[in-house]
Amino acid sequence: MKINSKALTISTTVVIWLIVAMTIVGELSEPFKLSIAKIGGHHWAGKSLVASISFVVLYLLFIKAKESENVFKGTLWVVSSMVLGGLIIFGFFVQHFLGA
Amino acid sequence: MGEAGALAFLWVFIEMLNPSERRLYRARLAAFLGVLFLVGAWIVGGYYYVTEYGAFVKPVIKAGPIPWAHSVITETKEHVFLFLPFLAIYVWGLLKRYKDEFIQNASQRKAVLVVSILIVLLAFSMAGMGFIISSGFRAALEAKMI
Repeated sequence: MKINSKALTISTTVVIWLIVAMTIVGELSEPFKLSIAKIGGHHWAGKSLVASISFVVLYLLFIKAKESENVFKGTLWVVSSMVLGGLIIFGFFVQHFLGA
Repeated sequence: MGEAGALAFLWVFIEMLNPSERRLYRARLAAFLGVLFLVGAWIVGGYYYVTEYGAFVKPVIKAGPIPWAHSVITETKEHVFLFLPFLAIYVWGLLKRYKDEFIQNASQRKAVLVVSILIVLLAFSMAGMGFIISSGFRAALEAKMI
């Protein structure tokens, strides 16, 4: 099976932001954290499962998408999501700790 | 295992600097191994985090002199780590998709180079954060003894 680079880029980028969103919403909303925990037995395992399933589903959804000629442009989305997402998570926990 | 994954992607990065058919084959192999190591770290590290850390280590660090080792560092580490397996699959997927086209296409090569080196940096930053968390645990135990 030929891999679709556009589907790969979209699924990776969206999953990074999904992890960021689940992390922050989970800290701010106890019911959300508990519902995620129910999926995997622990909130972290739940987030892992949701992220993995979303990655596969998104990839399959976009598997027929037309691939871009410029792969590097797609990679910039992945890279900037990774850097920005990581900084947002770190900043959120710093602020959460200082505010506690 | 995470460090082995980081080294595998450092290997990918080096092979991609000046690719040939042989080097691209090795890059695909290294990326595949990197995916296996990072997924392994996800499962093994996750098992430790869920079964041991939360119950025994976390309360000690939070009661110790540097509670931020858990509240900031562990919390960041456990969530940012989740990016790594997907980034690893991304690089492996690109290498499988474009195979020998990387020899001609500098833009595709740049994409793999950038993500690979970021995986290396992120994975080693996980190890660095692990050191801070261990230091938080040690400091808490020492404070209890004194």
